[in-house]
Amino acid sequence: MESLVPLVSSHSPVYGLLIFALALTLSSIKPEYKALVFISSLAIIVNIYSLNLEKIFIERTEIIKIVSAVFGLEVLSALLSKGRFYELISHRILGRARSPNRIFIMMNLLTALLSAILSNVLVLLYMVLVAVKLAECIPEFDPRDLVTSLIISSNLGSMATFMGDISNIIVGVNGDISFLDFLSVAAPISMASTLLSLSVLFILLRRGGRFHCEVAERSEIRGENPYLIFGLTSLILMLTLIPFSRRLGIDDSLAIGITAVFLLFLGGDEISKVFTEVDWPSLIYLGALLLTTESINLIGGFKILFEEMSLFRNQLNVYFVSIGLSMLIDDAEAVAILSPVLRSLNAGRDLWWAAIVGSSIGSALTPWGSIANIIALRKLRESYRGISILRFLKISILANLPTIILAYVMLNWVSE
Amino acid sequence: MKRHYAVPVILLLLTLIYFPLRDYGVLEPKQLQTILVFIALFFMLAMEYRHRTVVSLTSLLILWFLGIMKGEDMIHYLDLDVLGLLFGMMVIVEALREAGFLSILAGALTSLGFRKIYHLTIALSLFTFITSALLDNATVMLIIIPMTLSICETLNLGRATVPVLIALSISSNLGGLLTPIGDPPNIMAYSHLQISFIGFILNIGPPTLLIYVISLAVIMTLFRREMTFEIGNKNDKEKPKIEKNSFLIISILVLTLVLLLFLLQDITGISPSASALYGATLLMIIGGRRMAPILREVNWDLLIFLGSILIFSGSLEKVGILYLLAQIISKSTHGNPYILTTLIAWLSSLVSALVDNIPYAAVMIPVIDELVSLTGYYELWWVFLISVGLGGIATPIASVPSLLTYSALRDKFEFKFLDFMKIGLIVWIILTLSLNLYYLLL
Repeated sequence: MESLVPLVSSHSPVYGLLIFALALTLSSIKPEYKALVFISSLAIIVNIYSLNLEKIFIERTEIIKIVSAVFGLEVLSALLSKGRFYELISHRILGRARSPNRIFIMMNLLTALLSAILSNVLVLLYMVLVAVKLAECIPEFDPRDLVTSLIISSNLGSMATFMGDISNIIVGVNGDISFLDFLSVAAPISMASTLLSLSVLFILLRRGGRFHCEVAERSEIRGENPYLIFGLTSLILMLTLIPFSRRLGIDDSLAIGITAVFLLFLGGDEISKVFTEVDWPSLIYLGALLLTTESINLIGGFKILFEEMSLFRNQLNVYFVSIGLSMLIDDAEAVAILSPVLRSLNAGRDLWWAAIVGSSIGSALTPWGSIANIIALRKLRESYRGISILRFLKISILANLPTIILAYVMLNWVSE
Repeated sequence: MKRHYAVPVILLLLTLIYFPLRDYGVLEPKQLQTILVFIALFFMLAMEYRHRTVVSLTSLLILWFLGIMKGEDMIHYLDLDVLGLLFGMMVIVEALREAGFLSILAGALTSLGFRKIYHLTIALSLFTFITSALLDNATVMLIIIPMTLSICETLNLGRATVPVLIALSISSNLGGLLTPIGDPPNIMAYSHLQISFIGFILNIGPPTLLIYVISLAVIMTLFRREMTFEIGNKNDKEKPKIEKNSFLIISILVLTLVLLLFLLQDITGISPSASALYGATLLMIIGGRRMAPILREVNWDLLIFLGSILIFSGSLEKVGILYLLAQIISKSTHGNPYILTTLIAWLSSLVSALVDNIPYAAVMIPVIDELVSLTGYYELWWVFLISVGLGGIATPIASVPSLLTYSALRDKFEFKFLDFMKIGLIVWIILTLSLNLYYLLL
């Protein structure tokens, strides 16, 4: 490990930790600057401690695998977004809206399901728009509680698959957990947690009455471009091929990125141009974040932060630390911090599962627990009215407390 | 529509000829596979079959599947220095554009009162040639291209902008040849030769200047219709409006600091990429909210494309194709200076037209050294360095200035890869011929 720090720096790791803490705070307050913040913090840390980035890249191949997987998901999201997939879904929901309770359950379940396979940010953004559209349709309808419940469902639903969330990919790659492992362990926990929290939310937020929303013709949205069909085919192809990637000797995360490149190539000239629509700053942010956490780990920063490293040999501790961190910062950032620590302890699968489940639940607990939460709430504020932090916390804590217990019981059961 | 049929047919043919060629046994299977994938890549880029970055990434994946390049090889050949320098300078230039600096500069140049396009072309080309001799070519082009586009927009030049930008790309490639610090192959040869800074310029300067003049003449001839357009009347209407703001001052200060760091590289020991990244980071910290959209404006696609081309060039080095070329040269010329000059001039410029010139220079420098010590023909160094630089003119992927120019032309005027190549190849042939004749007559 020392070989990665060519010039043994006389600087204390505390400076690195302070810069990192500042970057985390800034990125939580202003998520739109996250790429900028982490590139800057990485540049400063690398400079202060004379780190060799190329060596970190070569020795930590996990970073490339993670970025490759997220790139694949970004391509998929860009294809579906360009194919107006989310608009089509929104249109369908609005067209079928008859009662507040029915729409509440339908939207929450759909959000959880879509978040398990697609980008949470896009799913939540479109769901917020549907909620606001409902409010426009029915003046007495207040979409704020619905959006809160959607955020919770999205975070819990995203726990289910390897590609459900960036935090899953980070843990999956670092803990060598495959796509199929996710389906057998995380998916049941995710489904049970989503259903439990949804039941609590339903009891808390249910409403009576009936309504009808006028929607545009479906043909206006559908059928004018090839992106939708190609995007959906790509999604199905990815979900079918990735479980077999390990048999071909290719890592799941690399398989997602590779499939995306080949799909763009095979899709034709127009489809290949979707490449330019990928959210590159988000990928750069992720790369910079992972490189920063690896750098902090190399200079011994996390050893100072978690003085009692043995603390992390216990599943319950990892679970609660993961929940706690994800409540405070973005869940991807939380697991990016935990991963080097768990890796250095040669953590078993049970601890990695605790990190995944904890981060998903933690991110559902606060308005700033995930970037998707922040963006969705901002969209709500811009298009309707904002929700107070207290109101969000009241709903999320009540809905998630039973989930925390249930998920831990299931984790224990799975571990045994 | 033709390309949709032509490309799959060519790809199929390339796959089919692999087997007889492999059995023929001249090249090793991995060398043969790399060359065929390279031909396929080049063909697809030329035909604009798919988005260029998707094509280059797919080709890299094929090399990976064939076991030619491993993950660590790719990182090794990625050349983070080149990419870091480009990224840093892209951020700084975007900030300058956002702050209005480039418009001010363009306005100031416009007000100089150019009457014909060739006046403007010569002025900008000379500026590019000189600055490229002192600074990194990528840096110069990143500043010059948006500035030129801004000038041409102000003057309503439309498609007449094309020859201006092409002239600048050629000038940047040639300007880099003029000094030991102008181009990476020059730096490599300079450190190898142990010659004085002035001595290097005195040797390489005269042929470079001559070739530069010829290149301008060729461009003027090729675009003689556009070059005679009158632009004088429009100048007077556009007076540069200078709106001072703190962001503008900060951006200019950062650029000055970075350029200073470039020039003081020998003293500070800070590499150009680190200097550019420090500058970009400083701007990001100070620039605040104005920097977030700028980061989105960075040409990420171009960075990834360049990265993949660098890796691809590395693969040719890794499988030993460049080494094989060097071997062929030394064996086939039998030390004859005339044949050596001709072969080195054409072969080096041809190879540099197809691959990145850094790995080629790295492989060839020991070979040239050997050939010079065998023949005593010291001029071979200059033939080699100039021809490597000339190769950068021929194709859009041959050098960073050409790639940046092609990207700008493509985005602005839907300029095709083949359009660029047609002009590039004509200029390249004439200039290489001039170089060859110069040293033969000498």
